[in-house]
Amino acid sequence: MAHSDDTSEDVRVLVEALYPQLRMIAGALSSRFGSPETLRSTALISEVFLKLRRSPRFADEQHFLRTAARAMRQVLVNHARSRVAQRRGGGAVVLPLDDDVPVFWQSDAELIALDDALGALEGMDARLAAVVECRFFGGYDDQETGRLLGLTDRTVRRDWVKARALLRTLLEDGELPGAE
Amino acid sequence: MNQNWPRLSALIDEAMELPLIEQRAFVAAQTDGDPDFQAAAFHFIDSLHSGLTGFMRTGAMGTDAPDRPAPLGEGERIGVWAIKSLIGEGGMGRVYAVERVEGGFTQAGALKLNDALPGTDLLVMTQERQVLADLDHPSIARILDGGGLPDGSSWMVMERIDGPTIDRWCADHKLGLEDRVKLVLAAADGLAQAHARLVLHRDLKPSNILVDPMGQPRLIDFGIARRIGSLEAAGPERLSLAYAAPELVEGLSVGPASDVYGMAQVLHELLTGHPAARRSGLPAGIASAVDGEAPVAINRAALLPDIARGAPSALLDDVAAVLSLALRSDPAARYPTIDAFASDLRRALAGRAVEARADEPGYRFRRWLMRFKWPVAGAAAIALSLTGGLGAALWQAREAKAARDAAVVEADRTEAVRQSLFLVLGESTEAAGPDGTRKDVLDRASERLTREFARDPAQYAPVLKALGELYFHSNDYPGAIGLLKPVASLPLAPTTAPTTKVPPEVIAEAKVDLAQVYLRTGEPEQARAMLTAAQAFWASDPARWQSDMIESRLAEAQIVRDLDKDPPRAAAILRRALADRIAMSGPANRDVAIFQNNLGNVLSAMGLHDEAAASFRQAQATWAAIGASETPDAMNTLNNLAASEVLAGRPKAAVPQFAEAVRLRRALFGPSAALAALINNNAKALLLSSDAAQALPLAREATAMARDFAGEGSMLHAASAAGLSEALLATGQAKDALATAQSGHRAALQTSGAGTPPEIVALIALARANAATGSQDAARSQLANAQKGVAAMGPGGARLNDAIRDIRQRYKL
Repeated sequence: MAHSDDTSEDVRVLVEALYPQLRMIAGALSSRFGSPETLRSTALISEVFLKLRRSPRFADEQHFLRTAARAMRQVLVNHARSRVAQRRGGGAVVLPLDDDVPVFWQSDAELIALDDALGALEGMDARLAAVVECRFFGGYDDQETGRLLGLTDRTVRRDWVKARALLRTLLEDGELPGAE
Repeated sequence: MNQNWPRLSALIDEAMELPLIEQRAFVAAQTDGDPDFQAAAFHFIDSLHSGLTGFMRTGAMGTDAPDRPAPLGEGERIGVWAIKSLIGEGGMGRVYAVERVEGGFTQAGALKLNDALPGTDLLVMTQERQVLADLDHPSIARILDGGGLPDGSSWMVMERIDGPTIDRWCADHKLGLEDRVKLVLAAADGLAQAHARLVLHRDLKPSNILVDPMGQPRLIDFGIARRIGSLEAAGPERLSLAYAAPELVEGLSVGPASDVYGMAQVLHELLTGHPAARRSGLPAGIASAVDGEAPVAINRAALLPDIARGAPSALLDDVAAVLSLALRSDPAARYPTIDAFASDLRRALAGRAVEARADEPGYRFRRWLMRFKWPVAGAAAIALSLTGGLGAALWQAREAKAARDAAVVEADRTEAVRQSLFLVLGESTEAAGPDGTRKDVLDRASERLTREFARDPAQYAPVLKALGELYFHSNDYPGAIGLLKPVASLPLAPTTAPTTKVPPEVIAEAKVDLAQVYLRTGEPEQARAMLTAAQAFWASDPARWQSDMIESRLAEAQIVRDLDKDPPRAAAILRRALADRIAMSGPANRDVAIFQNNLGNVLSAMGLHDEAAASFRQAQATWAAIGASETPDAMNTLNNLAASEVLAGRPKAAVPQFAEAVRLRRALFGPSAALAALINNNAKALLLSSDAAQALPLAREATAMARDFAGEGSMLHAASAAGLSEALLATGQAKDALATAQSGHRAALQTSGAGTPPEIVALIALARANAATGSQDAARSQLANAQKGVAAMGPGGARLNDAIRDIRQRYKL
């Protein structure tokens, strides 16, 4: 995997690339929830990748995909935060927004809370957080996630269950299990 | 942070390896004495199993998306359709089972209710739906009804297919490789019709192809189908990325090749369990764009277990090559049409050379040889259909109904023959070197087998005969005679002890083979002598040789037609034989098709053109029924059908039929005497349609090919040269026309002799060229001579008499 400073710059590039795409196909995606065969993030990332694939920065697909999952998370969460901020009439707007951008999560607040919980999880178990980023924000399946993170399918499946259990506990109880 | 997490995490990992009911006990035992830790572990274990199902599930989330109203309930109506139940829910809307009750009958349907999308033009949607409604094909679920609702949503009702998806169906029936390919071919048929109406499917995947209880695949959900030419980028969100062609994902212009890709992905999944390009671990849409040019790797190990066992390697390799070409990421590199894709798959099934591998050195020749390795009718025998011109016969494994013992012996022997022949052909292929033509190889094999036969007749007679049949199949008649004659000339006396150890049935078969060859070379007396001897042998044990006897009636009828000039008796022989043949094997059988074809020929010779055409059409239907529409025999039937149109005075109708037959035969088999005959016929039909400009190049090609493959001065060469001369005249090249007619006549006279049909045909052409260039006297006497010869030919010469009369009128002779 690339060095972390490279990665953060790459994430920025991807966020910039993803955002207009996101707006463009957002309308269709929002009605696409619930389709068992559609990985909405994959669709989005594929689209962006096809536009960026000739850039030397992303010549390595594994690196791209791992970065894309992170960028996707940032785009969605920034998006949610800025909507919330707009509604409140202030706050830190990360990206300029228009009113026609639809809601991606059932509620912006939930997505922001999830992002916070994921932040907490990152501090506790970075691998679990990485699995969540790939599986949930990247939309990759177990195999793809395993390949990107150097894990077996089996481990990814197990981590994914564990991570979701932890995140839900965090969201519901506000604290992690095993805390003293 | 949380110091206990690594310990807790490790414990949970271990617990998760255990069955559900044992996990709590395991955790309890491991955490004994540490109540706080135990409580945290129990809490975690419980949280793993309660209500996680929907939480953060990718793809499954948001089913309660705010902009979609609650589903319709049973009994609610849309148009005339009453909702029965919700069948499914997708990204674009919901699908309901519906029923229309009207006029006392019930019609079932599947109603797709699309979400209201901003900017949807209902008029456009109505037009789209009309296009879909016009599709009428057994492989496409029909659109029954449709409309729009006030909120901007639209609905469409299609046939409700009572069956599983194609992948499910294949798994349930444990279909083998061949049957899976055939299923995709059936679906491709429907798609081809849609393409012909300028409709693309654009979202092909296994879940969009259902199989009805009759085993017929049905394409559903032309949901994002668009008319070709009115395309707009639909965006990747509406596609199934794993199956979508790269240009669809990229929003570039799409065409029939995009559906070729989709259909190929479906077949890939049916064979391996997943669409291609998943191997890299990338999302398929990305992977196919990144490394789509790498060949699709399908080998035995990649196949689903159900099909891996029985899949023939040659077929597997061919299908893999076809898929590899169909899944290229550059649409221009794929098969351009779904028909081209389907045709190549059919070639793979038939063991013929596929286009996808045409560039591989030596591939075509190997495939050509492979075709003779097929096991047929339960016996691993050499299956050869001996065809050409206006006549056909069949040599294949004898069906064992009346003679099981004979069949067993036959099967053993044909297997041995196959082995020997392959050994010899294989060695000859090597000896002929990499640049050796098919003919070089056959000639080497022929030389060697002739030597071996002289040394050990009993062992090599069947091999020599088999090679003779190969020559016949290649329309090389002199070569076939050279190989068959030594075997056919052996004494065949059923009532006395054999004088050689060569099995008498082999000698009889060689005789009837040779009779076929003599029929083609215009030597019906020789043919009759051979056939009569063979039939006398079979008559000594009619039950045992029933099949051989019936098959020999084909040649017998042709001899009666050619030698006795007695078409009615020939037709009677064929009809009786056809009845016998159907009684023996049922109607859907190769031999039945051949009989129907030959019956048409005899009817045609009798001037009963409409009856002949009907018989050819029956033969076509039989070819189609047994999946043999792209075989040489079926192409002969197509040729004959077209010929009957010409004879019935409808040359314009025949032109496209001939052109199609030429195209198929050229693509599948390359140059041969049979192709020359077809091209010649095509040129004739064009000439009769007053299109000499188009006829001329065809006539030229036919003449050269006939000279190379049928021999200078043969009937085919004479007829082609006559046609060329006529085309030259019609395009104002009288001098060349005369020269062509002269050399054609000279060759026919030398090779076939005065008064023979080839010589007469050439003579008439010469007379026409003479008349057109001012040599009226020569033309007059040549026509008079030709007329005498035609009179001796009986009813078969009627067409030639017409030609003579036409020339006399036109040039006022």
